Amino acid sequence: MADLLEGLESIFPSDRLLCDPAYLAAFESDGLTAFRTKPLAVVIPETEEEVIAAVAWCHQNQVPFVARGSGTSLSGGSLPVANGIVIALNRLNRILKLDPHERIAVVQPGVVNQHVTNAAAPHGLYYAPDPSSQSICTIGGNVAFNSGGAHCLKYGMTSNHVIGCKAVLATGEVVEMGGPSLESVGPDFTGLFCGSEGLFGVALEVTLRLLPKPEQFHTVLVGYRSLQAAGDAVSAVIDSGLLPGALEIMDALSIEAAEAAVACGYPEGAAAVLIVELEGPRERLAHEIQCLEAVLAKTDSFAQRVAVDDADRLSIWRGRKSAFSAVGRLSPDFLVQDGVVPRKRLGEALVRIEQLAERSGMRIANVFHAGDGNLHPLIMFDGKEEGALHRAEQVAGELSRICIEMGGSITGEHGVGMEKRDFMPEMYDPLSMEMMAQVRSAMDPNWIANPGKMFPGNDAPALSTVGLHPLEKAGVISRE
Amino acid sequence: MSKELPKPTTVEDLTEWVKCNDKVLPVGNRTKAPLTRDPDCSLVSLSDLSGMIEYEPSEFTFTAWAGSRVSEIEGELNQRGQYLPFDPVLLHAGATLGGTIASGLSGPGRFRFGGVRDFLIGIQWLDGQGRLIRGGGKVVKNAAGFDFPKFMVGSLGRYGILVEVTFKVFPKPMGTLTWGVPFSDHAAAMNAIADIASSRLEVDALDYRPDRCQLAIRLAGPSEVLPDLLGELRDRYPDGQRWDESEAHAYWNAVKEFQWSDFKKPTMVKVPMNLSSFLKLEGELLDNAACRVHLSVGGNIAWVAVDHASDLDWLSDLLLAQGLSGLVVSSGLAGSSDLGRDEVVSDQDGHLGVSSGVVEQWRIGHWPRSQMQQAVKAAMDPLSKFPGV
Repeated sequence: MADLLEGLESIFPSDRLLCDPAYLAAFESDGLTAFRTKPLAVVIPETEEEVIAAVAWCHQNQVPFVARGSGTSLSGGSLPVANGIVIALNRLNRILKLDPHERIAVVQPGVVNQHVTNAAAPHGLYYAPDPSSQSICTIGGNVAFNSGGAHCLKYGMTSNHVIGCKAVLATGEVVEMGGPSLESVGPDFTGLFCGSEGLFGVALEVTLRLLPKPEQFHTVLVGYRSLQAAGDAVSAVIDSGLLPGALEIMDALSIEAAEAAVACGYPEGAAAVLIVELEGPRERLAHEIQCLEAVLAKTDSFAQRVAVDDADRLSIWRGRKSAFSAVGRLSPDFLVQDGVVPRKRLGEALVRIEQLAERSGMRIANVFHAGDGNLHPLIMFDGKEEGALHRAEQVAGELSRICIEMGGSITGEHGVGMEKRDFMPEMYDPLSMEMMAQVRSAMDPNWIANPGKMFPGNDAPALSTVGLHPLEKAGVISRE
Repeated sequence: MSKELPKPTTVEDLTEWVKCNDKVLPVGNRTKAPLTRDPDCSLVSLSDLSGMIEYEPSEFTFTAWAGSRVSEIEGELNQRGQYLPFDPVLLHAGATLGGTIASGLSGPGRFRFGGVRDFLIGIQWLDGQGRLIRGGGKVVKNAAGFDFPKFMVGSLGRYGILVEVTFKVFPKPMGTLTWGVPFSDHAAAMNAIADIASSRLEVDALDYRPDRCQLAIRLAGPSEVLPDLLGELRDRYPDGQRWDESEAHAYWNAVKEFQWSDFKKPTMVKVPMNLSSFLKLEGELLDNAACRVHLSVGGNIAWVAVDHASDLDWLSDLLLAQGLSGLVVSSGLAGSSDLGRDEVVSDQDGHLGVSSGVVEQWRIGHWPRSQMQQAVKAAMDPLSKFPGV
């Protein structure tokens, strides 16, 4: 192995070039614990120059690399490759510039999402994309996988908030895309880089736009006796012309789990709850609240709770945000699915999911960003039971196919990564896949940047049993 | 000899045309003529590949042919109380969806919710080999595959011919209201822009006319709420005044139609900007009698109008010194009727293109080049069917 890594030791001191299997074990998996692979080595750069040197070394020696932040990817996006190295970016965690006047921040890739908002808060600003793992996930990973969150309908995804990026491509070329203005001229390379899943190279500096923090929020939790009624309520809200910041639905199973985990006090006996959040200046909000009340009054609800203050608002959200981890209380193992269907077909999709659950004998809980048709079915199983993981994966695959069939997408916010790569050719025709491969080759002729992700056909690493991520068990992270 | 451009009415015809021509460049209604003045290329107009394909108001999405006039699409959206929030430009002049994407132009409304890049979610394009390729999708949230829709924003027709496009739309605010505020100097105005942009008010548009030192603040939302929000603007900027509806409409429309300058036939340049860059540049820009500026989108776009195309060299040098880039998007545009079609000529083989006599620069100032750009261009257009970038 020493031969294979020759030259790396001149870039990194031994305490930042890890080859000991005990250390490597910490990097063998990400948020998708079904896949595990030990890399050859992990390097921990502290400067941009070291990242560039590491990538150039990989390019010269034809060694694959995987850039990694906090490893929260739910699609196996930062899964190492066995014959490659991991470039751990956590120490590139400086906010290089925060300009409240221009409302932008320039950050290194290892900066934690929530830290951007924390730094912007004294100026009345915030960073809008809010994946559930925002307390630990990093901007570099958010950019690579175009992360979403609960507020995408109104504010878009990560790529809508990244206006510039400096990156080192897999060829070793350092490029600058976009800049400090919201606008640019020429093709939007920044937009292309966002969501490229690390297949082009590694982001070194990212310019983010910041938004003024909404003056007020109005958060309502509504209980329904059926999922259908909750789904109808979503359509009614959308058709009314309101543009809520968030529209979320949880079904009975996920409510049960959340209740057990955080005692969120959701309406008893609800088959589904809907969370609607409006936000904005108080004068507009007062008007919109009246509209929302009128719309909700016509829906078939049996309980309603309006958050009376910030603490109450957070308690409503705590149930929603904890739902996925909480499902761990109902089942020793589970897979989180991520798919999108046209909003009007949500009801139909849920019926199909129910049928799938019955047919497969697996319990499936549902939590979703209803406003944008983004489903997150949680497929529960017991990893100790022989073949159970395989069956769960088959169910997950069926769910992806349902989304494609309905004209949606195999992923709304988790990315394709390792998990969904085999479904890409089902979503995109061969010519479109070929075009993606050509562009990937332009950026990375040797396919050494995060190989095995997004494109099917590479050797998959061995599946191992699953379970809650250790950090999830400790309650540190949760899944969107 | 002036001629009409070929206007295929089917994708098959367009494909055939692409295969039969060596060097091609797509156009819509040529409202941004300088971007397609390449004498080496045969031009094809997409204007007959137009119309709505799919519109689902409850999904907040529509899919249309790229040659659709934006004004017609806006009309359909309007009937269902929806709109494209980025205020597409040159609507009345005849801009198409495809041209709006390829030129990457957004109007004042880009300030609140984002630009054309933020609302385009799916595309189908024809590459130089006559192959139809898809990027993105038809649902508002999608993280699968490379984001080709965003890449095509600003691609200037040099990477492929957009055929079908899918946009996200939003509910249209019931009303708007504009408060105009005079300032004593540009620095004070820039500070005001920064303050308002960070305020609780969530204003809809924020534009500045340096020659008048006048800031225009547009609020949008339920009509009954706007007077209350205006109260705060009145308190903050008591020297301002509320514009009546026709005055406000004329102002914003002039910005979108590039008709805000007093030049008879201005050449219009888009310069991506920010507040501090503008303050560095304003002295030289505004001192030149042959130059007018309108600062849009909260200081993020400077529209620079010059009286004659010959002034572009001066502007280019100025931008270059500041590391700024400029895109020359229109020239000699007196009004909506002058679309510059008379420049179209036929060569000896009968291919229609642009007379070499009217070629002019469309890229001024700082346009950094990289190996990455060349590599991506070669990957997407291996036959070099489209002009270089």
